[in-house]
Amino acid sequence: MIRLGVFFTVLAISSLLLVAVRDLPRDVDAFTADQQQRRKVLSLLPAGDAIEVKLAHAQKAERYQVGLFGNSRALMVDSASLGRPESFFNFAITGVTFATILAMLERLEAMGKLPAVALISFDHPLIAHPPYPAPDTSLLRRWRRYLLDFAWAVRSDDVDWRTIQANLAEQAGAEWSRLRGIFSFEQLRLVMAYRFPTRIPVIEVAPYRQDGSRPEQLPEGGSRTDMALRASPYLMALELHMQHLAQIAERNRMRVVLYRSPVHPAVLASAPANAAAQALEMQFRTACQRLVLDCRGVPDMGNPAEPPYWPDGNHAPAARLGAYLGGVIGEQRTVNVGARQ
Amino acid sequence: VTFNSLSFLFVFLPVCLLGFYMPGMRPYRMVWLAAMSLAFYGFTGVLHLVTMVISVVWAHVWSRSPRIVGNTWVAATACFVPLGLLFYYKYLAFTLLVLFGLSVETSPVAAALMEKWDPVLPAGISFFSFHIVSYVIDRYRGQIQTPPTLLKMMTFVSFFPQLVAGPIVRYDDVSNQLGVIERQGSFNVLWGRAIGFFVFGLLAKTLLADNLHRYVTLLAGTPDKLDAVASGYLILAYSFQIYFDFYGYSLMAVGLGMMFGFQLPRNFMRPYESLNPRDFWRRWHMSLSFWIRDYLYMPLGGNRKYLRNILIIFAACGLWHGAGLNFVVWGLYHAALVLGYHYSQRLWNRLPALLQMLATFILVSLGWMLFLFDFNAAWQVVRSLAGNPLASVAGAGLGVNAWGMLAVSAAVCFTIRFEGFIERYRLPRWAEGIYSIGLGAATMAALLLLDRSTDFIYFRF
Repeated sequence: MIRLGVFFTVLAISSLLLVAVRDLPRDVDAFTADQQQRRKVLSLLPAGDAIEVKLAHAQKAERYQVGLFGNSRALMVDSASLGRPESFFNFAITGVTFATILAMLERLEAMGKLPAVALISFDHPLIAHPPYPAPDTSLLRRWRRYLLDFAWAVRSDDVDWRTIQANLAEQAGAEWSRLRGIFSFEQLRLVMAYRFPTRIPVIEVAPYRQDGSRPEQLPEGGSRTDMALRASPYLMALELHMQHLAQIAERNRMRVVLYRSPVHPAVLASAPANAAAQALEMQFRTACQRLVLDCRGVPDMGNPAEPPYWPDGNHAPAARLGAYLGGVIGEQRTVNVGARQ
Repeated sequence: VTFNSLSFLFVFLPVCLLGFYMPGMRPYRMVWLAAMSLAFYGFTGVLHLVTMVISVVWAHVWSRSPRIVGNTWVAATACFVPLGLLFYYKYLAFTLLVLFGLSVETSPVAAALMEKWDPVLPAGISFFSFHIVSYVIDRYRGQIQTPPTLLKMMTFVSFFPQLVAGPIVRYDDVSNQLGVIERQGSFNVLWGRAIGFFVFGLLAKTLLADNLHRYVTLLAGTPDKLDAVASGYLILAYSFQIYFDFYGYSLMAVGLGMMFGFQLPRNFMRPYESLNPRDFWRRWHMSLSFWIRDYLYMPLGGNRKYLRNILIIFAACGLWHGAGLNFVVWGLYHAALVLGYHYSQRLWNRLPALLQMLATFILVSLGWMLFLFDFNAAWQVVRSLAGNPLASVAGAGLGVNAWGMLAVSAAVCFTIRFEGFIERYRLPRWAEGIYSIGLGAATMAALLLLDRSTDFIYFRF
């Protein structure tokens, strides 16, 4: 009784409709004063949506003087904790990797909206690095990026096949997550709530601020030190990514500062020797030196026994990290260009 | 990987169908089907897969010889490993606790024992063990003249549509199609019908059972604090939830079976429209009822020792569902209902049909509380129906959506005949198009709800 042709056509069309509806509208700037509800919804949506909305904002806004890039370890830093630089936007998004940050910088470059100073949080080697990302919402762009990295890794003597296989599995896993996101009622509901912010209620959650940051929840009575110590032994194509970063910086005369995300001193003191972390640190430092990039070690966050306290072992309080980054911005160092190999 | 997951729908099933129907695959179809079914089960755990494979191989080796016909010892040996593993995983801890009169709640020794030694129950072990046992008994009775090859038997037991939650298939049900596949023969697949079964099952699970589950979970957390309205709602909602959950699974299993040319037995025949408790067991989980009838009730003497045999088979039916006193009580409760009907049927049958149906439905629904709770909590819920002065969760707290969901479930349960609609009902050509569009849209709605879909209730058994 079912006419299979009609049935599958309806399924195909509705799937395409879902894909089309799933993209957030790009013409809306969610980082203006009257868009608090949209910023609340955005904080519940996956990282890919936040990337698109932040980039859409950058396209509409004046070119920023200072941009902060990273993941949840940088997301809480707001303009006030930095000492209110002339113009600042926090491009950080929970869960993103260095490759995603690079993809964002490439797109900002294409828009002509790169900040004059890019502060980039690079995860401490002891921290579990998120899997290799699918760093773009565009299928073509993210597979082009992946295939470039893959080709580079295959040619490289330093990358073993296990790393390549693991990254391929993670890339495939990320694609699967995206597909699941398309067929998710909850995500569809959130997308609709973003499109029609006054009509569809969402749970109460702290929204993004207008400067792109998100408020943190600080503990009372003392710092917390819990964190998982898990380091990836090698980041595939990190050297290639850093080379791209250096080229972007050079082309646009953008000042780039890469800093290690801070870890609570008590955690560092008690962490056992970790060969994977050491190897990762060596990989990072070698690339920095070869490309003459401004790479900083782990910043000193002051006495953790005094407030503001750490929410956990690898998220420094915004005030402490902001003070450090404010100092970095204030340094009169020249742009790190030239002497590339 | 379960039927209500995207990984099954978008990866496992297409790969399985593609491999099965790919040109040049005809000689390897049996191998492919067995391999995919084992892979399907392997996702639940390698140890569990090994458990199933050992059971099948053991039973196959012992039942191959013609000596099994009429030889109780050989048949018992063939059943020893499958039933032994079932006992180890499902009943050993329970038996020890019962033998020593211990309770996890009151005895620290029992609690420590259960905490230290608690093997994870292989999914569907009760189902595949019964498949194997039915095969061995059929061989013993001489009903299966030619024993199948190991591959054929492995495919029969592990065939993924019916592996984890039934229907409980007998070798006779599938031997024809297994033979066709083995002989590399061709067969017709009614794709429209197969997809119809699968889609209706998916809709029953995601749109009805899963939505009811939200409200059931909300109330089931505080069984001691429900007022009469909330208790009534919980009893009805769970009754419909378990029906649509299991019925949905069974429809999907039948649809999937059809996609590979198998005609799996039906498990339901509008059970909530039964006119009495005995009638209910001819309509609910029919493959289990008939299995128990043929392999337990009849060998025990059938109707000749009615009272004793009814008590035995329903206690066994309860235990089949789970190793717990609540399941035994549930089985005995149904035994009491069936016996009560048996001894009062002259009176019962004089009632108006609607009243008989309503009474059966209510009695069965009350019994489901023993699936949801332990005995004490189930009793609290049932007792709350009479009004509990200590009630603090009011039924009035249930919103319009909750009552609407219940009403829709009841309407679908009592008015729509899924199987008849798929198999017999004929629509005019123009209406077929509209029906297909509606079904496509409903399927998409079901797909969207998969991310909050819960495990099938009968997976635990």
